This record gives sequence, C-alpha cells and structure tokens, in this order.
Amino acid sequence: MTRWRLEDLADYVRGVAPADRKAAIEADLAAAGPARSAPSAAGGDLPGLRFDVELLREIAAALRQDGATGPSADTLVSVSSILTATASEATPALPTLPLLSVTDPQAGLYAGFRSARHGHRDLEIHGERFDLELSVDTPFDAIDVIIVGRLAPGAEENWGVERVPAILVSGSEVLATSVTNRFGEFHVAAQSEADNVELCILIQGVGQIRVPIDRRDPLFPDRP
Amino acid sequence: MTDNRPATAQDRDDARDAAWSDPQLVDACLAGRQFAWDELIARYRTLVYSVIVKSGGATGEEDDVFQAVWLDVYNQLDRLKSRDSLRAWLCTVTRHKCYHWRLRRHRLPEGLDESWAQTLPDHAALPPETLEGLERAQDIREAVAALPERCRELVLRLFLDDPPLPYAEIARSLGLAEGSIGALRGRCLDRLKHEIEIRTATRAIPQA
Repeated sequence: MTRWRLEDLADYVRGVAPADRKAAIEADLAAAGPARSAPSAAGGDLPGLRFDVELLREIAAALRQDGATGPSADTLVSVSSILTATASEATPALPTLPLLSVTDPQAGLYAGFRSARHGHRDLEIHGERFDLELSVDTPFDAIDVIIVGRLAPGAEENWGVERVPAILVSGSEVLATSVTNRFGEFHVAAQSEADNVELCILIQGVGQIRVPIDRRDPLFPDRP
Repeated sequence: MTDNRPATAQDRDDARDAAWSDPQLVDACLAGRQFAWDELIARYRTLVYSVIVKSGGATGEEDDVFQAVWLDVYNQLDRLKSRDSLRAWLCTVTRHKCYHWRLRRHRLPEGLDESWAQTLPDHAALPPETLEGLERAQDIREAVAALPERCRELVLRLFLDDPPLPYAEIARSLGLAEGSIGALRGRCLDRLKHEIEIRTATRAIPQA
C-alpha cells in the first residue's frame, strides 16, 4: 500500500492523475475502511486515504458552489450601503435648492378633498449636481411608506445613475434598501410607525441626498 | 454607529485575509467601519444565501430575503450576546427570516395573526446534516481565505475550473516556472488541510 501525498490525491480528484496512478489509488481506496482523520496505529493509513480524498472533493465542491450561486451584484451593493446610510457624516450631504413640493392637483382644487389621493405627493428636488423626482405614498390608514423615484445627474456631471443605493431609514434603524436601475429609477417601501423616516440616496464619490418623509397630509398638516 | 475614519490599506487587508476574528469584525461594524461591514458580508454571504436556498419557500425571491436578512443583522447586531457565536447567530437570523417570509406569503386563517403563527413548530429548521454541510463549506471557505495569497490563488486555480486547468497554465498565471508548482502544491494543500481541521475542531467546542 502507498502513502499518498495530498498533491497526488488532488490530481486524482481533479481528474488529471496518470492512468497507472489513478488505478493504484482506486485499488487502495477499495481496500480502505471508512474515512478516518488520523493515521492508523498499524500504519498504512488507508482510512486516512479515504478521508483525504473526501476532503479534497469537499473543497472542490465548496469553491465551485461559491461561483455558481449567490446574490446579484445589485443586491450586494444594496446590502453594503445599509451601514453607510446610518453612519453620521459618512459622506457630505449634497447642497440642494429649496424643496419643491407638488401635490396632485386633483387632491383639493376641484371638488374638495379626495381621499383617493390622500397620502400621496409628488416631489421634485433640484440640486447643484442632481435632479430627483419622487412619488411618495404614505396611506393615512396604514404604516406603509412607498416611494418610486428617478435620479438624474446635473448637466455638468459625469457620474452614473445605475446601481445607486436608495435606503429608507428611521434614526439609526434601516427599514429597506434598494438600488437604481440603469435609468436611475428605483422603488423602495417599508412599514414603519416612526415619524422620522428619511430617504437616503448615496451617490458614491459625490455625496448623500437625504429627504425627510413627512406623513402629514400637505392639505391638512395639522391632522394627526 | 458613528465612526467612519478612512480605513487604512492594512485594515482592509487584515479584515479580508481573515486575520480578523469574528469578534473583532463585529466590534468594528458596531463602530461604524464600512470596510468591516463589507468584509462581514463577503465572509458570510455564501453561507447566508445557501441557508436561504436550502430552507426553501422563497424560490425566486432569494435576493429579497437576502436583503431582509442583512437588514435584520444590521439592526440587531448590537444585541449579539456572544461574538464568537456570530456564524451560528447568522444562520438563526436567516432561518427565522425565511420562516416569516414564507408565513407572509401564505394567507393566515381568518381571525389569526402572526403572533399565533409563531406558536407553530419551526418548519424552517434545517435537518442537522444539511446544516452541518453548510457549516463545513463555510469552514472550507474561511480556511482558503486564511491561506497566504499565493497559496490561495493556487488552490482556487486547482479546484474552481471545470474542466481542470493544465499545470503549465496555472504556473503561467501565477508567474511561476512549471517545475516549481509541484512543491508549492504540496505545501499549500497541507496548509489548507490544517486550516480546515482547526476550524472544524473549534466549531465542535461548545461556545460559552
């Protein structure tokens, strides 16, 4: 019986062992007992042979599994940005012009209050280096916060709008994460009773946009 | 989490080369170090994803569950009692998330809410042999990450490709003479086996 080196067994597991060596290893495996981690006291180490072959097969399987399955690149970006969104002064906030808040004109201009549009607003945010359009839903009878948005770079900017994290936070708690598609569009939603929900958009190498989400009805801000 | 001092190149290399233990990694995440959070995700993303896939019930939504798991990890990390039990805790958080995800997707009986559902047996519990297999694969991943860089690169080239790469090509990609591959293979595989055995033995010790 042969005391095989790990590199010889690796060749066997990889399928590149010379034919005579492969035959010799297989003959020894056939004679070996169940896998054992330590050499036998009598020498020969046949059960250790089976252990080493199975170990090498496990290594190959584990490494190939890593390459075969896993989350998408977008998901990994989204998950990575969870911490960034709540770290104080992680990236500087981008300067913005005053917020423009545009409500649905049907909400109150015609026949008065229309409950179908209660809890919805459309926002445009213009900054020196970006434009952001948001459609925000905070239904009065639910704790949902639902945002659909589109991010665009300023005219002189050259950063990309794809895969930009868009995260809902409440203080130090992260509620939901998302990333923009290649058009800069995103959808992010969460359930929270908190009054301090913010939308954070993290533009790598540029800065952060933070938009407080005001649940109050823009027409009836004093209504609870 | 408030500290976002720029990471040094050595910090990143140390964390990535698995020189940092799990307790060190957790402490750095709680201190708000982005590179530590990224290393935590990199170190355990395959394990978490594998638990999601094996738990079933989220077919086609694995990425959504994955995001939800890491949200829970982030929000609950400061409540982790034993830093040395990080891996087991991640598996538990993942299984619970899979269970509740599945509950939400199925309508609960009239008049019953999720608190009732939590009295049900935990059908997200994975068979012990499945969990052991996932933990074993994680041992191997961590052992490979702990190898010196040249050994790590060699091991990946030996086992990742199917069909296997010829040794001449492996040597060329590593900048080595083909004749020197043999001795290097032996040393690296022996080292890898030793690293795996350490991790398996450590995992077998009950944590306090």
